[in-house]
Amino acid sequence: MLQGNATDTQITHLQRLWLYILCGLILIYLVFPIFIVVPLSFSDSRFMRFPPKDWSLRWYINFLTSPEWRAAIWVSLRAAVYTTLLATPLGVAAAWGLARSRLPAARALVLAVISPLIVPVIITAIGLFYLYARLNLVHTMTGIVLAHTCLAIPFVFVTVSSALSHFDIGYERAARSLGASQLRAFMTVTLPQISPAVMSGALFAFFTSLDEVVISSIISGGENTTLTKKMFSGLRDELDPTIAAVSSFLIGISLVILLLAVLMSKGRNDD
Amino acid sequence: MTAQSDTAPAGNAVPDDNTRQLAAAGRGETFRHFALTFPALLLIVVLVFGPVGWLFWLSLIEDGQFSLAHYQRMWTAAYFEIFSQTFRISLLVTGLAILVGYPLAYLMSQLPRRIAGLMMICVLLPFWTSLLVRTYAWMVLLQRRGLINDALIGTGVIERPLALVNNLTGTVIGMLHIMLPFMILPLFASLRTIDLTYMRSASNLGASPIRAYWTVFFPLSLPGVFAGAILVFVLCLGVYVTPALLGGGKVVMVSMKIQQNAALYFDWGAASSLGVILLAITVVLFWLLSRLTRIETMFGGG
Amino acid sequence: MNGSTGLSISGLSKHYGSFRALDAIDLAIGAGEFMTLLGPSGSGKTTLLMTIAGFTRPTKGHIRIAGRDLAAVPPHKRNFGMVFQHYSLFPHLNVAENVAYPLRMRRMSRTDTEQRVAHALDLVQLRHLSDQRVGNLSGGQKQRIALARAIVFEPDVLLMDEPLSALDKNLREQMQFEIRSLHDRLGITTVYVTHDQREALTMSDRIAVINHGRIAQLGTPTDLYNRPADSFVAEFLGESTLLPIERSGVDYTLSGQPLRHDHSAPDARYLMVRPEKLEFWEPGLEPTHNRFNGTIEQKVFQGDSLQIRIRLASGQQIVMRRPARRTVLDRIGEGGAEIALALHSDDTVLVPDGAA
Repeated sequence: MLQGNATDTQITHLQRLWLYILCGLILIYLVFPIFIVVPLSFSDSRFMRFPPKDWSLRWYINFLTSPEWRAAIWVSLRAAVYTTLLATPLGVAAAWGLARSRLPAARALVLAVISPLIVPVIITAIGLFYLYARLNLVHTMTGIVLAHTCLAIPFVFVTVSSALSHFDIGYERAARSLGASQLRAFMTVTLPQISPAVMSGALFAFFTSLDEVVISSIISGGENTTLTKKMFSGLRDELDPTIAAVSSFLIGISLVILLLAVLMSKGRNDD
Repeated sequence: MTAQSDTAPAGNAVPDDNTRQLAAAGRGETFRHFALTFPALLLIVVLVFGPVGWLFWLSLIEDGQFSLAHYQRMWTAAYFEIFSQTFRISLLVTGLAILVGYPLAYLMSQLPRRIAGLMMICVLLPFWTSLLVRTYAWMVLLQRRGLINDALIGTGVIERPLALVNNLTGTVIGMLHIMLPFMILPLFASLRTIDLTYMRSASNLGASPIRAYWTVFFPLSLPGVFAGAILVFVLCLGVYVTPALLGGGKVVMVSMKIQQNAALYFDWGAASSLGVILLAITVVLFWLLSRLTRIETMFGGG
Repeated sequence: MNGSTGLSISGLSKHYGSFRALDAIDLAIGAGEFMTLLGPSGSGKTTLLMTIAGFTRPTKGHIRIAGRDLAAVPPHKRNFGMVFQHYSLFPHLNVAENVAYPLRMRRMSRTDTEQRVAHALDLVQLRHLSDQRVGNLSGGQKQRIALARAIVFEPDVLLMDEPLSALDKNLREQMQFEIRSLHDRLGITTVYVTHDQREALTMSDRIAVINHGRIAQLGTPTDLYNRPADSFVAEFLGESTLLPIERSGVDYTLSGQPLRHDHSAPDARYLMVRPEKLEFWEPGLEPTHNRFNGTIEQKVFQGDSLQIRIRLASGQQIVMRRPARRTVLDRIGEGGAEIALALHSDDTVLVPDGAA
């Protein structure tokens, strides 16, 4: 097995053993920190020792019985859902409009739509705070959702644009020749076929909102404190072990999202 | 050419000329397409462009009148040190990301799809895991009596625990973990497109495997490396959360200073002028990146 | 589905900057006519079809049907059926749902829809595939379903954009026959785009040869083949040899030899010779035929026929085609042998220069 050729240039697996070991270590580096959190959350100790000496559910109980943590989770989930519901149609509409327009300025508009990804978040965050202070949007759900939607639109836009660029415009033309207006052609023919990309865009939007720290720390607060703001201040001030339980909960969500994303990308590749 | 087209009223039939109506209808359609991007653009212009423009304006105002005072203050040693530290950390993380990301992306690009897919999940898992969760994990792993120090002492490599967190080391380890997927994903995509028959021809032409790699594959992979490196570097420049949590106050990057100026000292002039400089550097680097690749594809498209 | 209407195109232009993709096209397509747009790639034939369909907006000009100008009307309000090069069957719908799609867009009742879909699928003999997924179909089946979908809503005009180009040769010939017979049964006005001259000759009532965004010639297949308007049409449609000719007074000569001819355009520059129109010289042909002397350069056996390349005394090369029959084989000597050819004055076609 090890004597077999690994490459076209006749390097054997044995000769590349170092590469396999190195890559194995890199993969461990990537994945290990994520999985260490889960056992820690079941520890009985305040001190985050690994492996834990005694096991308990006390941090989960802490997490689920604390009104503050529960409120924070509720705020974050609501914000993520609203953001997804807002960013997905806006991103899809922008992607479709720009894919179909033959405007010379289309390229500049693409850059404008993805600009929230380019501007460092801290700049957007303090700019938003300055703006929200005048609009009375600080510490409001509306404020959080609008800000997160700005950050999420580029992800939806990029995934859907990419799917549209591979999508045969002939389908839309066929639908229009058969009597569908451009909008109906899109809704009845294009959208069903690019739905995996729209779904992964939506997942991106959901995750972007759920995971956003910087803007949330600055503009959320009061009864609308997001989970990330609460975690961030918790981590900065003291290592509250409840965060291990919260983290395990978030890892669970991530695994579900990753699973869905992998399924979606399978769907995209099959086209 | 023939009687057919010679009789055509080529442009001289005034009452019959519908050029303008058709052009107007064409503009209408272009506008309808364009209008589809309005809601998204409106939101971004109001919530991103507007406030950023406002900050730019603030950075040029001191005591109610136009002044470059905020920018002059950037020339002091204290600010210079912040920028210098930000750049050093970003360069270090970018360099490490190339060293660590390249071998993995290289191997993934050569392995069968199934195995490469499994490895891809390992790369994507951190990508899809909350930033705070990962940072938290590193705080736990790297602390004085954390798993890594325990393991090193247990195996006798060191006698006293190393200071791995609340300093530059911790910040770099944490940032590298966050940035690696941004290096590996575009690099993998670009390595995948390199035609391996080039390697066969190089072999056939007499190059040893190692020389074939360095003279053929490596040069072809450089655009992907540059693209990934610039992306990682720009993202590093704007990082806020990781140094704030893993730096233990010893690491101050530009983003953190901006936040401090604005939220702690309410010094909007200082915060905004720092922001403008950071943004300018970012935009220039993205412009460079756009020369190498389509930016959209760097964020999961393509 | 009778009572189809004709289509009238006038002064239709499409400019991209200074490039004229369509240059003031005038074309009247009769009710129930099968009109083919034929031309090389880049000639503007597809642009013309896309403009008729409404996907390309003309710079100026009119597309009229029953007196109504469609030039600025969006595609879905034109009521034209269209069959696309790559079928464009919707992969997320099954066969029956694909065919029902235009009826759904027209908000037709359920029972009517079912009835019409069944009828359309019967017309292409694929009713048994109603519930199939589109992906499982063969190329020929896909094309028939696309056809059924394009006619199920009784469009005023049927547009077809190189519908057979993705099929292999045998299937293509069979489909040509099927499309034509379907057209004859339904009497639907059809505009068909192809770059395949044989396909155009086989199927069309009339052919418009398009070149450089203009109509180079419009006519029946026989007209176009036998009386090409210029050297471009002569070369594009069928095999031909073009020999430069000179003008002397009212007459034309080929290397000094006067030509006996029945058809010529005013500014003729070439003699067009179709290989199959050349005959072996017989003494009795004198009054009606032109005589050409030459030597045989090459004989190529092509199965059913024999292609013979002949160098004329004037130095020009000419190609002759004869059935590979024993009597013919016996007549032809080896390479280098002398040969005398005859071309009937009616087949002696003199054409002007047409920019290629």
